[in-house]
Amino acid sequence: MRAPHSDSGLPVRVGGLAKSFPNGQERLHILRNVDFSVEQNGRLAIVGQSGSGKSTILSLVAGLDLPDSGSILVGDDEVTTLAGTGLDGYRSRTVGLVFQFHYLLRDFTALENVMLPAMVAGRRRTEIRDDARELLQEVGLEGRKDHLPAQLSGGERQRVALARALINRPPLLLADEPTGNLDDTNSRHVEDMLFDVVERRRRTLILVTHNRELARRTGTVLRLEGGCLIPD
Amino acid sequence: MSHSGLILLAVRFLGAGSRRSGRGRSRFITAVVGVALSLVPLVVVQQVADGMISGIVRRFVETGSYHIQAIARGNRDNVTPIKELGAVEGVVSARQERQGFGLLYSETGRSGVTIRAVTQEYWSEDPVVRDYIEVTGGNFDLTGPDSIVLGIHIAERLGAVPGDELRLLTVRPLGEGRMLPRVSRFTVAGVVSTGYRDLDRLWVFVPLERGLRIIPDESARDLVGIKVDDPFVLPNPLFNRGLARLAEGDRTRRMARTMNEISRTAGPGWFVLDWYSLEQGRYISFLTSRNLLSIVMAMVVIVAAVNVSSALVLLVVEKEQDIAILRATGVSAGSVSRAFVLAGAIIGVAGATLGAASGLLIAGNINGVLQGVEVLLSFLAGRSVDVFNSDFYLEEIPVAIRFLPVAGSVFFTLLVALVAGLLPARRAAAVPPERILRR
Repeated sequence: MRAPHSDSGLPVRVGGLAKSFPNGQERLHILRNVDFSVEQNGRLAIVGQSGSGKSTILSLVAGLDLPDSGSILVGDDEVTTLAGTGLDGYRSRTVGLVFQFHYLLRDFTALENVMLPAMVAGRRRTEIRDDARELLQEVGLEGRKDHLPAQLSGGERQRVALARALINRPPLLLADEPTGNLDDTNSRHVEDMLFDVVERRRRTLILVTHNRELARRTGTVLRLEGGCLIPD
Repeated sequence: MSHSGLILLAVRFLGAGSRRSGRGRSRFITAVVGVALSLVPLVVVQQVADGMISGIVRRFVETGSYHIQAIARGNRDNVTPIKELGAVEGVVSARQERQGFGLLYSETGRSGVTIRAVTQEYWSEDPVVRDYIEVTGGNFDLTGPDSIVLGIHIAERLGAVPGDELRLLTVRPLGEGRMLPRVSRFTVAGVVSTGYRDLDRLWVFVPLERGLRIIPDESARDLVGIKVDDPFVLPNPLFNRGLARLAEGDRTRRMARTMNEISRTAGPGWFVLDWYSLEQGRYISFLTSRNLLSIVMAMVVIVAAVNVSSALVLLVVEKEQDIAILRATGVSAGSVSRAFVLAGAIIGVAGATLGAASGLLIAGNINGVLQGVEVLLSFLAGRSVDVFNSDFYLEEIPVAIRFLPVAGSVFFTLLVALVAGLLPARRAAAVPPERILRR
């Protein structure tokens, strides 16, 4: 599996997706029959209540977890059949992840945090450094590149996380409540940056949020209810 | 993952190379210091034990057993081939000696002794003997027919000083259990010390001609003591082993030829034995003691490695979230695993370097260190404390730093540290990427 440095997004087709978790003696069925699709360079928002399974959808599409059943087609690749290095490669090169919490590595500078996923992909260090600097400049943090996460504000950390998600130029960007931990001003800033980057870099975006105003900026909003997606 | 990425991960996980200080870094420092401290005793034991063994063996060989001995098979009619043996290529000197046992009397005491009947040249023509034997009273003078030179501990036991008259009892066996005693008078010419108690409490030297008369043929050991120009490359597990043996191959072969030529020249009436064969039991016991000590000290290194493993397991637990993030961004389980093995190796390299350097520093100054310890313990105890009783060993430990055993110890430490990293590495590789979602 190798889809590196794409200049455009990939279409996503999800069908019949089901996922359950053990809950004592029984199983808790979070996703029952989820179907959706996003066109190449398209944008989709999934809304729903807390605990409804929004983040589970993203983790399945990101290849972090396996569904009980169903299909996830990203470009030509069936994610549910990937394993080992194929799956590592998919996570590294096809998907960019932005979470509600920044999940930056505490012992690494902003620049190193952005560079790490590219080092995983085996790219040349000088090229990685240039790209990382460019991305940090794009999110307005070039001057903070040598700062540790602890030395950055919440909004700045999230912007570094956004830059990290884009370092391998992934065709698919998955954002899970990317502004959920930020105040209004920082939320607006990060949202603008996210949509601006997705627009300019022509990426496919799947956004999970309970913020309907943010969701509406994608143009397509689905609501997760009872384990199924319905138009909002 | 690229090598630079792996190194960056390992170094930062250990808390090094980052401005952020904390538990990770202190754990790294503790692990490194632990490995270093565990290696110090191993290096010191190797160097000091080798130094002591070397010191004792060289004293034995140079003053007692010679490098090679041609020992008469019992036929006293043999002509002692001194000149012929002295002319063999590689031979430095060949001297006749008769050895036997006797009981030495003074007015105040008596002592069983090993009588060594030698020529004056034993002392006057051999500078190495003079290096190892110190005259503590009188002279090493066997030119008078009644002269006797005593080992220092015999002299002390008999209360004898130069100029005193002593009687030496030797016994000729007559068969059927009967003995013929013979008492000979001697005057103490000198008192000597080799610095090694085992030798100083046994030896008395008498002139060769007198020895040939008073030591009965039946119990005498007649020999030609031979010294060669490269004795310690003769096959032995003390100085000529492993890589040293390979490096000294030409010299070893040359000495082997010298041995063969000595045997041929001496003829069938003489056994020819090299210094190692002559005292093999003693030398093997030295080696065994040293090896046992090394094994015990190596176990200390293994214990330190267990601590490294524990520290890394704690690190994995602490960094579980970071590992999950890395896995989510595409870092393979194998790369995570390698990063932790590398972390163990970094601890091993740092600890081994520090430990080897500290060990060599202590070993190189072991005599001063022991003196310092004795002064400190004496001060604390309020009385004189001997940590190292030179009566039973050497006055001073001769330390010649040998780097090959140090390299071996460092390699062993690195290997153990690498193995110590395997368990935590396996555990780190098992952290699933979805753990990132469980925060």
